[in-house]
Amino acid sequence: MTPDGQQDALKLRGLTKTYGGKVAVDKLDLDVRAGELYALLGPNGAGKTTSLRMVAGLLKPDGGSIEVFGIDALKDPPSAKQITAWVPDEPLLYDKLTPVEYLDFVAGLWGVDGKTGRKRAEELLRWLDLWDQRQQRCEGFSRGMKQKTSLAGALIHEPKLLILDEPLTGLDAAAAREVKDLLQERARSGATVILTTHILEVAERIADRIGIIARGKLLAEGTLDELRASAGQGESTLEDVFLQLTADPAQ
Amino acid sequence: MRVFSGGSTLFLLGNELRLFWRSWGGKKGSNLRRLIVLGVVLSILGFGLGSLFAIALNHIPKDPTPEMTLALDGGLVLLLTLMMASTVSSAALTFYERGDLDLLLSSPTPAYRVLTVRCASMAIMASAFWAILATPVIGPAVVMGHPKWLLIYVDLMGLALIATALGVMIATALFRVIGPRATKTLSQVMAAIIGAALFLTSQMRWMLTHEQQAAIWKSALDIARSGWFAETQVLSLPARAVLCEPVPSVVLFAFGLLLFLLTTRGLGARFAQDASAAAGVGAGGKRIARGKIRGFEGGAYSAMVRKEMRLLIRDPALISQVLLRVLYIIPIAYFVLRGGSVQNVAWAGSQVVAMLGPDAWVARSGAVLVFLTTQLAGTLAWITVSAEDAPELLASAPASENILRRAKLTSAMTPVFIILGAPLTGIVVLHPWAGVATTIGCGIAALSACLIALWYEKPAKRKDLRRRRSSSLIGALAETFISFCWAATTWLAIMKLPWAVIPALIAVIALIAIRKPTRSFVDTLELA
Repeated sequence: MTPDGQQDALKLRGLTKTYGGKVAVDKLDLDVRAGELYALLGPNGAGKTTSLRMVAGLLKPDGGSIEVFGIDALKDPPSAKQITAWVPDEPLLYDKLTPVEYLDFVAGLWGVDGKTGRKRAEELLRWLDLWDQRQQRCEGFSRGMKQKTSLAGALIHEPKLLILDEPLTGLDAAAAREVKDLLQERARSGATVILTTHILEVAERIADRIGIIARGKLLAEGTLDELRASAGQGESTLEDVFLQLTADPAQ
Repeated sequence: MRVFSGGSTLFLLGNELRLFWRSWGGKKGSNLRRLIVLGVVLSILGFGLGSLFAIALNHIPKDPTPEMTLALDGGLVLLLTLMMASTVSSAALTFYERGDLDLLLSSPTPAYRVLTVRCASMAIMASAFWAILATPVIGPAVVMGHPKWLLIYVDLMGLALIATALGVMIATALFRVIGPRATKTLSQVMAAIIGAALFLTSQMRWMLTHEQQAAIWKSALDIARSGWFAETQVLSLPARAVLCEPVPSVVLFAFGLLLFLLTTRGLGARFAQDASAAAGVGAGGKRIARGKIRGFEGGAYSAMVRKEMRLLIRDPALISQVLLRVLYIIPIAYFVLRGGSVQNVAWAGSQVVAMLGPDAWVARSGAVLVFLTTQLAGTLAWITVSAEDAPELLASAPASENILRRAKLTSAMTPVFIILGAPLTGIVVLHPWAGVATTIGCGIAALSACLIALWYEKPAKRKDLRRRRSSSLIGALAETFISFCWAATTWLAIMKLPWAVIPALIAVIALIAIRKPTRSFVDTLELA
C-alpha cells in the first residue's frame, strides 16, 4: 500500500541487471499505483525496456525484488503473469494466423474460457477497427494493424497491469490516437498501464505520473508539475525538464 | 568507368553479388576462409575422380554415338530441370519479397534493368553450385592436356541463363493467373516436386522388374537409333556442347543469352507492374479463413497444439520440404504394398536374396522408415521448438512451460504419424511382427529426435529451416547417429536377431550422454 492508501500495482526494490559488466538497471526502486497510467521516459540505453522486461518475466534480474499487486513475481511468476500483459515495441505475431486465431491462442495461454474469449475478441477487434480484417492473415497487415492486434492480444485476458514498450512507434496519427484512447480507457476502468515512450508529448498528455530514468536509475518521478518543481523550472516543458534531468554529468 | 556508374547494369549487379556474398557468411573474412576450405576439400575429394575422368577422356569417341547423344541430352535436360527448380522459386521470391525492390523501382533506373540484374544474379547463383562441383573433376582434366573442358563453365552459364529465362516466364505467367501469394507457394512446392520426381526416377530400377527395365532400355535404344540423334541432327548439338566442342558450347551460351535478354527486355515493364501489385497484396488480404470463428476452448495445451498445427499447415516452404521427405517414402511403400517379397524385385540379385532371406527387404523398409521418421520429426520439432515466432508472448504467459513444450512436441509428432500411417499399416497387415517393430521403432526415433530438438533449442527463424543443422553441430550429428542406431535396431528386430539390443543400447547411451537440461523460456530469450 502507498502512504495515501492506494494499492501498489507494481513495486520494484533494488532491481538490478548487468550485461557483461555493464550495469543496465542499477538498484532501481519504483512504485506504480493501481489504476494509474505511468510513463517511463529516458534516453536510449537508459534501462527502461530492460526494467519492464524483468517485470514481465522475460528477463531474470541479477538482484532486487518485483511485486505485482502484492505478488512476488520472482517467487511466483505464473500468478504475476496471470494478471500482467506485455506488449513489445516490435509486434511479434504469427504471420500465418488471423487476428481471431491469434486472440484464440493468447486466450488459451491465459486460460480464458471460450465464451468470454470470443466475446472479448469481438469487442477488442471492433474497438480497434480490425473487425473487417478478422479473417485475414496477419502477414499482410501494416505496422499499425499488427500493433493493434498485438495490443488486442494483451487485453484479451483483461490484465490488471498492462506494460507497453514504445507502443506508438511507427503508428500513423489515427492509429496512435486509437491506441492512446484505449490506454486511457483501460486506466479509467481500473487497469494499471505502464508505458515507455520517447514521444514526450504523449507522456505529457496522457500519463498520470511520469518517471525519468537514466543510466539504470530513476532520477525523478511525479506529475508534470512535480517534475518541473524538482527541476526548478516553473513554466518549462517536459522536454526541458527531461533534458535537464538526463544530461550526462560528465558533460 | 561509365559501365560501373550509378544505376548501370554492372553497378547493380555488383551490389547484388555483394549482398549475396555478405548474406552467405557471418563475420568479415569468414566467407573467403570458407571458400578456401571448401575448395581444398573438394579438390582432395575430386582429385582422384578428376584424374580418372582425364584418363577416360582419351577413350571418348570424337563423334558421339546416337546412344551417347541421347544419354548426354537427357543429362542436360535433367540439369536444366534442376536449375529451373531453383530459378522458378527465386523468380517468385523476387516478385513477392520486397527487399530493396521499392528502392530500386523508385529510382530512375529502368525496370527492365532492375529485372535484368536480378535475373543475372539468379543465373550466376544457379550455375555457381554446379561450377564448384565440377571444378575438382574438370581441373585435373585441364591440367592433363584437355583444356577444352574449361568450356563446361560456358555450358553451365548458358544452361543457367536458359533456366532463369524459363523460370521468370513461368513465374510471371503464374503471377498473372493465380496471383503473387499463390505463385510463391506453388513455386516452392514445384521445386520440391521436381526434386522428388528426380529422386523417384533414380529409384525406378528398384521398383521395376527385369522385363520392365529391358523394355524401357529397348525403347530408349529405338529412340536413339531413330535418326533424330545422329551427328548431323540438331539434337546432337546439346550433347556436343556437353562434350565441350567449341561451336556447340558457344551456340548453347548464345542461345541462353539471347533468350535471357529477350525475356528480361520483354518482361521488364510487366515486372514493374507485378512487383507493384505484389506490394499491395498484403493489405488486400486475399486469404480469408473459412468457416466460423473457432477455438477459445481447452486451455494452454490445446491452444498451443492448434496454433502449431495451423502454422505448420500454412507454411508452404515447410510443406514443400515435408513433401520431399514423404515422396522419399514412396519406393519403400511400393515394396511393402506389392507383398514385401523380393522375388519380383528386379534389382535384387538371387545370391543376396539367398543370403538375407525374404524378410531382409521388409526389414530394410522398416529401417528406412525409422530413419525417415527421425528426419521428419527432427525437422518439425525444430520448427515448433526453436523457430517460435513470438517467444516473448510465451515467456510472459502464465501457462506452465512443460505443458507448452509438450504441446509443441505433440504438434511435431502428429504429422509424422499421419504421414507414416499408410506405410506402417501396410507393413502391419502384411508382416505383423515387422509392422509392430517398425511402429515401435518409429515412435522411439521420433521421440529421440524431439528430445534432441528440445535439448539443443536455439532461437531461429522459420525461413532458416534449411540451415537448421548448422545451429548445433552436436545436435545435428547426434540426430543422424541416433537415427541410424534406431534404424539398425528395427532392422535387426524385424529379422528377430538378438543383436538388436546393441544399437538400441548405443542409442540410449548416446541420448544420455548428450542430454542437456531444458532451458526456460526466459533463458532461451536471452540467447536470442
